[in-house]
This record gives sequence, structure tokens and C-alpha cells, in this order.
Amino acid sequence: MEINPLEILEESSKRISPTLIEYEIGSEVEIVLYTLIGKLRQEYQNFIIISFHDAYLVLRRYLENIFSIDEINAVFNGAHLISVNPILETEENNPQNIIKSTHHDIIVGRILETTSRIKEESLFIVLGLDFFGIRIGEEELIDLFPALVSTIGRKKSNNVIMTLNVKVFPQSLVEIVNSFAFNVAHLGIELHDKDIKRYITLIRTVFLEYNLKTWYYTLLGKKLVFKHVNSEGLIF
Amino acid sequence: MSSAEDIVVRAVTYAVEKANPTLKNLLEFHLKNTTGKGYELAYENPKKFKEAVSKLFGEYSGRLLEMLVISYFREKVGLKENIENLEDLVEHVKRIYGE
Repeated sequence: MEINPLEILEESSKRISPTLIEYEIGSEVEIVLYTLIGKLRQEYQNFIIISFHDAYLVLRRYLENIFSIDEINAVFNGAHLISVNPILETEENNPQNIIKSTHHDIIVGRILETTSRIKEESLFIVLGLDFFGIRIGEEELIDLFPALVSTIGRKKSNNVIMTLNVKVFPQSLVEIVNSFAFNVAHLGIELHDKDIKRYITLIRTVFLEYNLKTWYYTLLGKKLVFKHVNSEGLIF
Repeated sequence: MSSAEDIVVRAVTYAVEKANPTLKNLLEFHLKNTTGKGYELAYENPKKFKEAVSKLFGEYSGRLLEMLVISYFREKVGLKENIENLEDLVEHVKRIYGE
């Protein structure tokens, strides 16, 4: 049977959290996230999106080009949106909470204030940490990341999924961020002449037999299709 | 190429190289194929440039590149104004250079 890397990531994220999805430009992280959230959404009573610098708005704009509003709402309806430093998100996505600050202590404190009231099992998606790192600064991102992870990841019942572009930051920063994630997947691209081939590598999950395995993926219609690449680089 | 156009193109090149240098030629090829222009499109028609980038790389990556372009002006040119998008940035640069 064909193994789906997103199902491995999904299952691993339910057992241990947080999960970091590292992505490169052009890897279309949006569709991977949408598919993963679609798999996890129904299993959690609460769904909280923490969006830095309009990242959720950007994600939705991409999805609206591919999926119908009903299909998008089936995944995102009922989500509690916390917008950090929004520009357009305030009007377009009606966030329940808006945080306007560049200081990590204030941001994390306000998020804690909101999330501490939630008692049930919750799915957290953190978007735009890279936007924050570029806009506000790498040092602030290094301060923010551990504090944020320990705040929303402190409850064992929480499933936290985060995305970060790893190519635009120095290796030292990426290593710090990586060290706080229990599951790590990398979305990358390869150029074959003028074509982009997208791949996912499971770097760290609880399923050790799948770690460091790679799959190419393409969007066929509205469905992500994966093809496994073996150690000789052959596709199955 | 005018001074304002030159600095915008330099910023775009910096952003692409920082994100992934192997994509530089691919993006230029895509821009020429779809719009008939190269990186100078960012200066001539920033909205169209962003649309073309998002079509190739996705909205999320497109926004990331846009932020990297703006960060070039903050870090290398000393931009102090609170500018959040490429359209406003190009207008600002044109004003500074009197174009």
C-alpha cells in the first residue's frame, strides 16, 4: 500500500507536539498545510490559528484559487484567529484577537491570556513566524520562538503545527528553532530544467522507520499525490 | 535604466538570491514568458510582478519575497518609513529619486 507522508506526520503530531514544517520558496506549503489541517481538524474541539503579519490571509488567498469557499470553510470554519501585527487581516478575516506589538514578551503574554481559558484538546496552527523574523528581526524571532512553543505547547492535549522558511535565515537560527520541535518535515524543491519538482522529507517523527525518507508531490486536481523516492533516487 | 529602477531590481535580485539562488534564472524565465519583462517588471508594474511570482511560487512564498525586498531597503538603504507592500515601496522610491 502507498504510504502517505502526511498521514505519518498527522499521526506523529497527535502523539507528540510541536511539529515544524520547514519549507522553501516554491514548495507550495499552503496546499500541504491545508491537507494536513483537513486531516486533523475534526479530531480537536478547538482550532486556534496564530497568524503573524497577515500570514493567514495569504494562505486563504492561495486556497481560494484552488478550492471552493465551501471546501475551505469545511477546514477553517470555527477557527479562533489570533492576528499578530495584522495589516489587512483585521478587515478581511475578522480575528477574535488582535495583538499589535513587536516585543516577544507582550505577544506571548497576550496569546497566553487567550489560550489559558481553553480547557479542551486544541489544534494550533502558527503561521508567519518567518514574516515576523524578516519584518521585526531575527533576534526577536529567536526570543519569540521558545517562549511561544512553551506557552501553547505546555498542555499535552495541544497539537501545535508551525511553518518556517529555513532558507532565508542563518543556520544557527534554524538549529535553535529545530531543537524545539519534536516532529520536523522539510518541503523543498528541485529544478529539472525549467520544471519545479516538489518534495517532502520527514526529518523527525515518532515513526523512526520513515525518518529521512523523501516523497515527491504534485497537486492533481484538488488532491496531493505523493511518490516515494528510494535511496537510489528512484521514484515509486 | 533609471536610478530608482536600478535599486528596485537590485533589491528583487537580493531577495531571490537570499531565498534560493537557484531560482533566480527560473523566475526571470517565468516573468519573460508570462509578461514579456524581466525583473524590471517589479518597478514598472509591481502588482503584476507580484501576481506572476505568486503564480509560480504560491502566495505564501510571494509574500515572503515581497517582505525580503522591503527588508533590503531597511537594511541596506536605511528605509525608515513603515512600508508594507511593493507598490508603496516603488512609489516611495520614485518620489525619492524624483521620477
